[in-house]
Amino acid sequence: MVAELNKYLRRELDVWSLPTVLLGFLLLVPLFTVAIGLGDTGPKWDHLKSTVLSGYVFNTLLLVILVTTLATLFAVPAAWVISVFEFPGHRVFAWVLILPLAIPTYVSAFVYFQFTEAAIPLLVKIRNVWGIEVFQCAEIALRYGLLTILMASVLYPYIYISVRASFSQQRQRLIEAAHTLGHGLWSVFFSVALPLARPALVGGGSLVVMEVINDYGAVHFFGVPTLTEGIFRTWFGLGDLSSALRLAGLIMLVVFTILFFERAERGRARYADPGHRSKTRTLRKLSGLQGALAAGLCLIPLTLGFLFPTGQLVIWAYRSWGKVFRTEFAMHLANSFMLAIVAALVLTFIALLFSYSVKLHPVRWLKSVTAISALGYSAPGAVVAVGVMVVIGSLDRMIASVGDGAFMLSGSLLVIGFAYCVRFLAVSLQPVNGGMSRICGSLDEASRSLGRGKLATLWHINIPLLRGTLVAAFTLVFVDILKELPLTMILRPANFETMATTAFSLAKEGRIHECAVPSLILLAAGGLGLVTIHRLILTPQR
Amino acid sequence: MKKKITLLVSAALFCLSTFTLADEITLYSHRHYEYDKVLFKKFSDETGIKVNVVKAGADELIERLKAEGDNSEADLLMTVDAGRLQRAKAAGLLQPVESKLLSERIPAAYRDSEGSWFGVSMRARILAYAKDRVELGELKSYEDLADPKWRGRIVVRSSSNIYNQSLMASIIAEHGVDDARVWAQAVRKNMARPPQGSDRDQIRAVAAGLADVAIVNTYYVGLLINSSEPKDQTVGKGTGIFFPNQSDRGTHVNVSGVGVTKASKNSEAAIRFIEFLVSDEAQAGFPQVSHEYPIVEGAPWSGLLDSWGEFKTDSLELGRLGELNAAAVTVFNEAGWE
Amino acid sequence: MSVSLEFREVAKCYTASDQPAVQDINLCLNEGEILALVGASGSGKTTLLRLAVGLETPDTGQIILEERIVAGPAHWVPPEQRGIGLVFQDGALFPHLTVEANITYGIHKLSRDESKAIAERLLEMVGLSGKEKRYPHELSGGERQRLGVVRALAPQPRVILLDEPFGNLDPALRCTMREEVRSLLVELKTTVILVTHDPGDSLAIAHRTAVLCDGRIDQIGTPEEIYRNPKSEYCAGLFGPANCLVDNSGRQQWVRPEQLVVVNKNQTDAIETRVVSFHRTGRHTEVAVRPTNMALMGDQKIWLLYLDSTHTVEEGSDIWVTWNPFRG
Repeated sequence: MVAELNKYLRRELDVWSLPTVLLGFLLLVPLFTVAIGLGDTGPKWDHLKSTVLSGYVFNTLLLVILVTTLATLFAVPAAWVISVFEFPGHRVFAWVLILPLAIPTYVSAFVYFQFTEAAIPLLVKIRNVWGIEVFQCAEIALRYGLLTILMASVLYPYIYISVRASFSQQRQRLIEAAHTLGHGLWSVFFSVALPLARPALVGGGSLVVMEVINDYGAVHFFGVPTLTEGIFRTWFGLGDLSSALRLAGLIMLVVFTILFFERAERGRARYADPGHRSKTRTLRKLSGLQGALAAGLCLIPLTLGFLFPTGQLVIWAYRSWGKVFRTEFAMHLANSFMLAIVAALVLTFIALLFSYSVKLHPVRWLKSVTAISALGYSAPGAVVAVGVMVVIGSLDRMIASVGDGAFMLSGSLLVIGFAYCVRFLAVSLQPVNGGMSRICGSLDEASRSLGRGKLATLWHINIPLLRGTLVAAFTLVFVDILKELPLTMILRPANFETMATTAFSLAKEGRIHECAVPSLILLAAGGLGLVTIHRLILTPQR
Repeated sequence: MKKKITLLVSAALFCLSTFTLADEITLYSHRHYEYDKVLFKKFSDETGIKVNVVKAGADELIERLKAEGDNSEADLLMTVDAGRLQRAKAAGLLQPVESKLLSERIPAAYRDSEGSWFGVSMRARILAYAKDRVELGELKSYEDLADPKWRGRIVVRSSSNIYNQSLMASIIAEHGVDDARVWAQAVRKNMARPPQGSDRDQIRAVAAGLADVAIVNTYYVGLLINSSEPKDQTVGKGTGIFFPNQSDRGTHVNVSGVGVTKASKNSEAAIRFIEFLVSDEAQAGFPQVSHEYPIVEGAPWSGLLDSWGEFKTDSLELGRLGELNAAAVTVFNEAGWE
Repeated sequence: MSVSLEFREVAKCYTASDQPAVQDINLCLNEGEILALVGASGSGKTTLLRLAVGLETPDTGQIILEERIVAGPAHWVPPEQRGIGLVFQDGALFPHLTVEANITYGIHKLSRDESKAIAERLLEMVGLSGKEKRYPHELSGGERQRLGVVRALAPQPRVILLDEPFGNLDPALRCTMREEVRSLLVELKTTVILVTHDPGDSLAIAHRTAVLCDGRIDQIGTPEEIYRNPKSEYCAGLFGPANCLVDNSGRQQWVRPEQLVVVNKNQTDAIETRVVSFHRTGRHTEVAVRPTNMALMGDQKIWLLYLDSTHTVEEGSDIWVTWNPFRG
């Protein structure tokens, strides 16, 4: 019996699993707190079901379909022409196409919203000529259209990055084989390249879907109530927390399904892609009209997602510079950077720990622990915030009952940092897991057999080999936290402003032009980060 | 690595230092107005009490107060509507305070009878209309907006907005839930477009000719008129202002208000802060800077407010707005007012 | 001679429900001995190596390294403290380290000068002098393999385990490497377990060979013993083709093709067979024959024998054969 237990424990446990399990549990507590309420039917659930729920679901699905489709149409052709052709601006396009990621969706929404105003005279004309019904349809089409364009144009880089990586890793020989079998370039695209890139497309697409579902700012601005907005209306307006949590649960269920599907696709990808890096593909030179066409394919999403919003912000910033720029800005910027850097460091470290402990001890339950503790990414930010507040609040009560009450966690930056970890673990864990899986296990074993322990092996073998991945994970989290709004707003300490909260407060006061300065600063920081990533991930390594 | 660890530890220690000093008060505020900064600074200069501010949505701040419980560092909660103060009171987050000065200066309708919260500035939800397309006699009351003559002529923001929820609460208080639902359905039908955007956007839509009437708060018109954007100034100046229901219960009003939290360890300073907000000096500033009405009777208005004239206000006790808030949202949902 | 590495009743099962990967393993290696482990893929060779190094824990049984229990019900010594070297099939060279850094990786506790001196000596032994500053991807396949071996040898392990070390090399290179590695190992008097699926490797290098079948040791002995007297068809087959010969008492014997010789049909023990097919390879002709008395073959379909290329054969013709026992 003892031997059996011993054997069982030895199989299931590992010292390195312990911190992973503890941390994973810690990160899950807030979500769990929220999920506890999921079982009971709130008093207003039936009311929601009979009135607004179908509208929320419809809007969410419609938006998801529209945005994901348009983002795919933006991303895939651009990725393809960049991987296959050489045309004027080719090298620059390759990396500037990811820049829209640096623009928070809510900032782009400020910029695009002016179109609804600008279109009013046209709409009035429509009403005068064709009557009110046509006018109302046109108004709705305009709003949904703008919302779709603005969201697709800031979110398409998720698809672009993964699909382009897939295109450039596809083996030249496969493409050549298809050519010799009588397929033209477009035919190769549809019959070989695109099917091979499907897992990458699904992977990037699922990120877009999650972003759309969880967006709160832009949809609110454009008056399109989705499930996420429904959560807040139900919770605050109706005062029915349980029903609001049910909606949140509904969203998480959808996201969970997406992740499952994505994982299944990734599993197939392993068979599809033998993992050998191909020789650099010789690019076909395009010139003249064809070159212009290819450049145009890249220019459209770039303009909509980056050049136009940035340009508009620059104009606004120029006009409002003197009014807005204060010395406080330096402080806000420092706050933003400090929070983002510290949190990104911690998150990268956690991701490394999780990933390495799973590598040391690849049992299913441990993998599940790490996967589940990254679920915070699928919950709306405000829901995470509430879970965190509840947990920290009870912790404080515990501390206060022991001490004199002078020491408190609530309202400290530690809380925000913790909330970031709950929310953004997935962002750092995904690349680190990917990078770790590319390090052959025999390297670790070789290191161990050469007399180095687990920690030394991590330090001397895994970390140096993961360096690019770690920097990428750090930067992704960094950019995400710079843009982050709801968690920061709700959980921050007194008198604490970041660039994002400054921008949002100004916009909330209706001083859209003045919010351009902080928005631009955010954008510049995020853009710099993205360029770093690009150098590390998308340019082929040795 | 060592450097990283030191950095992390020192950052953590820095984060942990949330000690409250005796001559400080912490305010959880939903107000995003520039004027507040000026006010707070003046208060600090006069009293030596430092004001720490956490700005976020009122609902989120209430949740934060709930979670923090007695350990909260907040001394005051400030919102832009009475309904949410009432909700905070119902959740046991506010403490009743007594101040002779406050009860004297603030009319009873604009403060909690037990002293849990106090209105400090006031706004009315009025009708902004296109002067060229609306006859003066056409406008009457909120109820009148349900009339088919307004088909396709009304714009208003979404029902998730607290001002609309409060307006609906006042209508439920007057007519009951069923009539309110019928009214909401009819108004929704009369809207030129689905609810969207801010109050400002509604006024702009009217100015641009998309609709004839917008339901908005008074100070938004003031903000547009005083905007640095010439375009907005034209919009603001070109719009007519109408105070509805003057012949019956009066125009629906709401307040920006503040209450002392139950967790406050410095309620004396907190009361002093509220008293400062209703002082002559502070009250005079509201019309000038944020274009709100002062709460204290006899406090000076601005030229703009004077130009709009005196009006009769709905005498409904504002605490009722909070009590009826859930019912209001239910009615909106049932009526299909997004 | 003292015992260097011993397995006692070792068993290992990867998932609770599965067939054990290895079981009933009792094996003793003397100091300086070279043991080859052969067996079909999935027979447990690699598992046995990983158990010895400490990359896997045995479910039952003990592993003893120089009189110290390194794995057992109440004992566990992690791989980094065992002092057992491991050479991987793919080399497992650290791609981010230079050739020299790869070698000194395992002797980091020595001073820089000492470790450098050791690296220099080892590299010279395998002809890699002058390539210290290169990275693994800048080496040829053979060089990489040799680097993998000397890297494992640098910390002077008491036991070294080689997992298919020549698997990725072309045949010509394989022969030279085999010889080089053998002389190196013999010179250092290291105890060695060599996992291979190539009988050539074990015949050329090993003092003893253990045949693994479905996780158990099927036969153990010198490579010659196993070649000449395989205990089973499985053991026989691992070392190349073997013919089944059922004697009068019904006992099966395994006879190598070169033991079958063509004789005059009048010879007393001559067996009549018919040529099924033949295949010229140059030096000799591989002939597939079927005895007239099919019962002699047991379950086999044909016998294989080699004829001098001076012989001529024809399909369908009858020849008489007999078999010679190995001498010596």
